[in-house]
Amino acid sequence: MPRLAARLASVVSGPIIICLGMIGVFSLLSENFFSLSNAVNIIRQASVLALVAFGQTFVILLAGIDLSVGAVMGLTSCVTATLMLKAHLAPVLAAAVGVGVAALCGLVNGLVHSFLGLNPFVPTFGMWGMALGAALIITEERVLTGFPATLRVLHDGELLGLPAPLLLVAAVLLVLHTFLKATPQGIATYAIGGNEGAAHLSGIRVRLHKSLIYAFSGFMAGLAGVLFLARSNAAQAIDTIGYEFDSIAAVVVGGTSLMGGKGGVAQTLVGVTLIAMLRNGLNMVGVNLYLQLVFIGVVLILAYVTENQNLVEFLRDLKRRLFGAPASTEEA
Amino acid sequence: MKLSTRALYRLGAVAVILAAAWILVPRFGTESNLINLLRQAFLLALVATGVSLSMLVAGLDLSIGAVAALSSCLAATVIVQGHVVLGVFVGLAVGALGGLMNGVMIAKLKLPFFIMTFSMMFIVRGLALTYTQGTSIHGFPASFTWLGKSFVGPIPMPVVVGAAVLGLLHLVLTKTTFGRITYAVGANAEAARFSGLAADRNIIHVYALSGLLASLSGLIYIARLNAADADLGMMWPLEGIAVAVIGGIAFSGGEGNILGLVLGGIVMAVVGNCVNLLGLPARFQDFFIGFVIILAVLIDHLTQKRGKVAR
Amino acid sequence: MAEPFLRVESVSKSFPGVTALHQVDFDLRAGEVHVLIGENGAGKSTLIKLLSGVYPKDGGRFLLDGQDVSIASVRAAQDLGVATIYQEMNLIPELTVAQNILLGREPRRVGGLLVDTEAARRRSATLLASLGQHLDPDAQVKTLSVPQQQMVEVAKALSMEARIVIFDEPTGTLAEKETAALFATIRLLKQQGMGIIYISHRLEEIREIGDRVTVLRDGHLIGTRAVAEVTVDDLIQMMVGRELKDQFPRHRRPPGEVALEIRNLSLQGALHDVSLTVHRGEIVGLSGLVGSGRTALARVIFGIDRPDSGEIRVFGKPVRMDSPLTATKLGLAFLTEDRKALGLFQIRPVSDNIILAAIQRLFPRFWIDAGRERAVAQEFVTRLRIQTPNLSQLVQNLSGGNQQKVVLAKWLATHAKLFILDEPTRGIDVGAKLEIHRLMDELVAQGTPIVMISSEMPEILGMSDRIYVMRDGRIGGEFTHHEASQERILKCAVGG
Repeated sequence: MPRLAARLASVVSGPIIICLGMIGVFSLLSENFFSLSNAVNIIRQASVLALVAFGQTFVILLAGIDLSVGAVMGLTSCVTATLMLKAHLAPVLAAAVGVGVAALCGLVNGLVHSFLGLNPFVPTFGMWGMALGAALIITEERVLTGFPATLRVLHDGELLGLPAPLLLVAAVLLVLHTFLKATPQGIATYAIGGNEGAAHLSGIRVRLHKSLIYAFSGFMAGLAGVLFLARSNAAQAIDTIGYEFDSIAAVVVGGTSLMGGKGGVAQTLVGVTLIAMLRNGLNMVGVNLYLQLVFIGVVLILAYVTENQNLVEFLRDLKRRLFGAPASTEEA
Repeated sequence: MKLSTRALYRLGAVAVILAAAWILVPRFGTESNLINLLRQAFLLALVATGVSLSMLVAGLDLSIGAVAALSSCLAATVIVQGHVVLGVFVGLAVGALGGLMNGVMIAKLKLPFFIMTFSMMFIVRGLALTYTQGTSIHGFPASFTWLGKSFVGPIPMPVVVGAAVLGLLHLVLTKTTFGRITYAVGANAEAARFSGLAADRNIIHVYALSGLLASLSGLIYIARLNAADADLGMMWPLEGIAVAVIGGIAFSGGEGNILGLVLGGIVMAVVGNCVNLLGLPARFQDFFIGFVIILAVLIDHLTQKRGKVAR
Repeated sequence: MAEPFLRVESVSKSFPGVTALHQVDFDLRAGEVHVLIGENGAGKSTLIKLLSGVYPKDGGRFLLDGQDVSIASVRAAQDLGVATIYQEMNLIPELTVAQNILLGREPRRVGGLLVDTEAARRRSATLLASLGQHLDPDAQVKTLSVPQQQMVEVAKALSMEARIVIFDEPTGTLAEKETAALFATIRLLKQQGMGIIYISHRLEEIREIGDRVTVLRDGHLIGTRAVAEVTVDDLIQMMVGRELKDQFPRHRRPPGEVALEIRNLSLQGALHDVSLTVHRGEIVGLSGLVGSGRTALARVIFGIDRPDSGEIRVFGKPVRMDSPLTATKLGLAFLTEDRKALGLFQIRPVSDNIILAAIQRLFPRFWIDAGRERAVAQEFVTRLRIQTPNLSQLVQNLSGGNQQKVVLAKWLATHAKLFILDEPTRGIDVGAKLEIHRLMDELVAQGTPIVMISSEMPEILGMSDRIYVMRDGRIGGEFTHHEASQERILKCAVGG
């Protein structure tokens, strides 16, 4: 029993407390917040970010980073839409190609980073530009609409009363969580992030593994792109720009360490929920759209601090550093 | 000025690009186009200065665009009422203050630069938007707009101001103790501390300077546009990183110089310009930029200074 | 008596400027603990690293079961059955005990897709039990104590079915009870027929756990004996028995006023009630084994770490040394042991590295005069005979000896009033060593005191005016230049 209590205590992190706090505050300030329809709303809005953030989680676990996901998402949605409109490809097939392209982008990122030894900032940032450019070229900078609505079921559909995006995210979460915690490759991911040298010595093929993880991040971005397409029912290259930073924020706020080797997709889900709930709640309460951004920034800092440091110590440290410590030497 | 082999390679590459553009792209070599190119290049380089400084100390300032927006909107309010000098002062002060906050949290409280500048981006952008409520402030007196619109001979004022600022920055980086310590902190912050250098204080100053430069860039932009909007600089962090990376500034810190920035600005401007002149839709620009970035870093990697370490 | 299954024949290894091993012979029998001893730099680490596949050997052969084997990589060594347990752990802190033990070789289920955590748990528990340990296989390694982590490493070695287990200074951080537990484990390994190579400085331990002992000195094999047939004094004699040529440039002079006084300094886990004094005009040598607290003491003096209690007085005035900034302002200089990571700015030019620590003294008005910078840098390059094509050469391109000279130049440029040098001539060729020693003598002649941490006995004896010997975070003994001898110092260091 004490072990269960200990595990519960370790799971309830700072971000979770902030989430619960937000639920409390927003419910008090707005009667519409604490309702099923609103919860469904939040889930739908968060689902795209969740998928991208899951992929980003894997990369950050390796102590890496993927700046290209926003653009890659857009590329997938544009490729998918174009294939449906111009090549009259069946929606599912078009989506598959789109996701495949995304995975390919990720693979290139991974290979350049692992085998050429470049800091991951670089290839993923370059890929960002190229993917965005490619998306703009394919769509000729127009908004694409008028393709078959088959894919919309991913966003609008329901099964047993539960919204499709929720089921999708839940299913993906389950698979990825199991992967990370229960498969040799998942454990290897943590090992590489935790101590790359030791991982190498244990026979793990580090470079190959890293390349595949980046390919996976691309894959998830592709998946998110398809879901985004389903939601907006239109494809425009620049729509998804910004998701790269949001995904990183969600991962870090959720508790996965930028240094690698610690964290996971469940924690990322908390981070995603936190951000989505914050946006939704502020909307409900009627906070100026612009002021919302300020809140988001403050909460991000707060969530990071509570997850990674003791809040009391942090404030004490802050006070000491800003207002000075006692005299350092008595005589010099 | 002594140039390293890498700087020479870079200069050579830019010369080749310019020559190619001159030959292959119609109307590239016309005076009006070159002037446009020059203006764009220096504006880009100016925007990139803040980011570059923070990269020099192995950090990154993502908040430059937002800081530029807030500071220029606040400055604009003062300027439209005719108090140009006060307005400029307000703008620069706000920028420096924002940067100061970044620096203190990052250096003293050890907040990762990503979290801090990223959150700052939201906070500051939100403040700017709240302040303007989405409207734009326009109608500046000519005593202000000359900053963006006037010419010194055939050279646009932004280029003159940009060149002056970049030149000043170059001097600071190469000839002052502050600049030297900045490179040291970027090269090896621990060794800097162990050598008795005030590394933390230096980092704070760097970020404050980054904020200041961001607000300066913002002021020049709004002088040129004769309007201040809160959505100024949305793409600045990314554009700035692109210019810096092409110019040879490394994420790992301690490497890079102002000349590289200027060259980076030129390359970015040339790509955009050529895409335009060739009648290619603007979307090709991003693709080429991405490609150029990877190419530039590969070249650096092959002539690298330090052993690469995964982040 | 079984035949040795591992033979090391006439193996040599050199690094630029230094011969680490010279035609060393060694062998290992199944079921024995063969102890390897020698001073710092005698070649023990190098031999181990050759066996572990970290470096390739330059000459000689390795014979395993009579077959000539090449140990080309770490993986190759593991495949041959060599497991090495270093002082720095090779574990993944966030993963569990079971995950660490079986990393890369996890038992599977569901067609090989998932890890069979139950089987992994059982296997880890079994391995640990065979070592007499009962750790929770699901505990995160980062929550374990150091000796417990060591056990995980041993279990890992077992899981790899190692035949040779090498322990590199395993008891450095262990308390008595924990050491006893480790020895019990090693005996179990012996029973299972493994060959164990055990490196240690603690000579009294050798009698407890060792079957045979091999002594190395300056890269040469001095001898291999059965533990039962030698005494600690014999071993010490074998370790240090060298001719000391008086090749140290020292001009002794009477000490001046007290420059640095340490009183009752304590730091949890590192220092216990340390007191010492340093006078102007003298070189104080700080001797002791690795881990005895010398560097920890230096770090406290320089303000990197804060002590729990005690007092530091610089030129008579008590100070609170709360950062290196304070230390340098007071005129202290600290040449760190790890010059690459902490002493130099690798990607910056030589001139930069030389002037950086002194930059505020040289250029108090913010502006750097290029001419003065060049002059100051050149002055030091000439004076210290730093070999570099020019002043803008990046420091990382210099040889080790020259890099060290640059670090020294850096601190000399600050006109410091007290120097702490941590292993100033480690890894440096003889010529450069002499030059650095000469410089130290010059420095001291001007009245600037030096605290010198060194693991090289000749250097300690030849350069110091007084010597403090540290052991387990305490001052074990103090000797003047006349009183000191190799045997006395070593005996003090090992607690014999």
